[in-house]
Amino acid sequence: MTDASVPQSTPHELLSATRELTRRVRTTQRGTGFPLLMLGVVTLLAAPFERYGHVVRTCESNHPAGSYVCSLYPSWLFVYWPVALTLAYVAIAAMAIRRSLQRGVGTRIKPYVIAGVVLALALTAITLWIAHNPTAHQAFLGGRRVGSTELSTFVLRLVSPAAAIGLALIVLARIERNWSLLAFALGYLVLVVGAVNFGWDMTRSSHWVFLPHLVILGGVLILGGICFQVVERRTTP
Amino acid sequence: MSHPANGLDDVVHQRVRLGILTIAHEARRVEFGFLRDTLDLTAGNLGQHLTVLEKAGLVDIEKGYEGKRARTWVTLSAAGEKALRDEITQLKRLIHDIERATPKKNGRRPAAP
Repeated sequence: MTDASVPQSTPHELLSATRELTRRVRTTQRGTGFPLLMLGVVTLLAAPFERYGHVVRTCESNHPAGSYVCSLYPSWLFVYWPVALTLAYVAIAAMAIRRSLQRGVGTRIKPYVIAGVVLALALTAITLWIAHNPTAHQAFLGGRRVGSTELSTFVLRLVSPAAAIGLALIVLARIERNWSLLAFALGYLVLVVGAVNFGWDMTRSSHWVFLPHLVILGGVLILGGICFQVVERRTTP
Repeated sequence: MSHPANGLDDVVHQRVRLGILTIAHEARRVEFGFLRDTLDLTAGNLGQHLTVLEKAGLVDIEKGYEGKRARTWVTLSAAGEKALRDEITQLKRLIHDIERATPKKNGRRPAAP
């Protein structure tokens, strides 16, 4: 009988063996590098669409005295981000399935891909609504007109495609039980929401004023992707 | 209350088979070669354990080809999920009972009769 060749183990040994096997499977399943690289490239490729995209200007009356609230948004970005992110997630899913076949273990990528696409589409829809309803957006923020610019900008960052990338990365960190990725995703979201540009500023009148933040976000994703890929190559059995 | 050892399933309470079930649970779907390498078994030995698990209805085995290469994929069945969960619970109970019954190093030993 097969069992004869296997020495008996204590409950302690059996439990610690199952924990070790679980850890090894999770390490083998991880594939964080490629999604980060892919999303970094998608972020950088948004630059020409932001710079040369047709600008939508929506103004609405906001005050009995006749003042106006206007929003400006490059319309091509409404097309670029959902399409580019959906294609990126399809590529990420294809890569995960390929890696799963190569390594011989199943993949848990499905919830991440679904969350990524849903977040990208939902946040684009919200941004579109905000861009076309500037006064309704302000009413939603508590009806504040004076001094609400910073709050509006904060909300716009929170529903930006970059934030959608970060939120989906939290989902990936959860399904991969990957603490380093969770720390990376949270750090990335701080960069997104805080509009951190490490002192790299451009004049407000420049058409490229958006560029420093975009390059930093794309650069962080690519750099993170490279680091995770190096670690994965070293740790994968 | 019955002793936790009575709740152990002979099919599952075995190091290699418990390993197969653990890997299949975590991986959702696992290939024969990965199981063989991770558990450090020969193909024949692994095949025998898989047959035992398949006959008990704990795993599903799917054979196919990837190009010209034959591949065997193992998936945990619903009964396998339950059996693994029960085994882990019983092992934890056993450890708990053993630790409770064993006097602490610094504690006084019970007096000899």
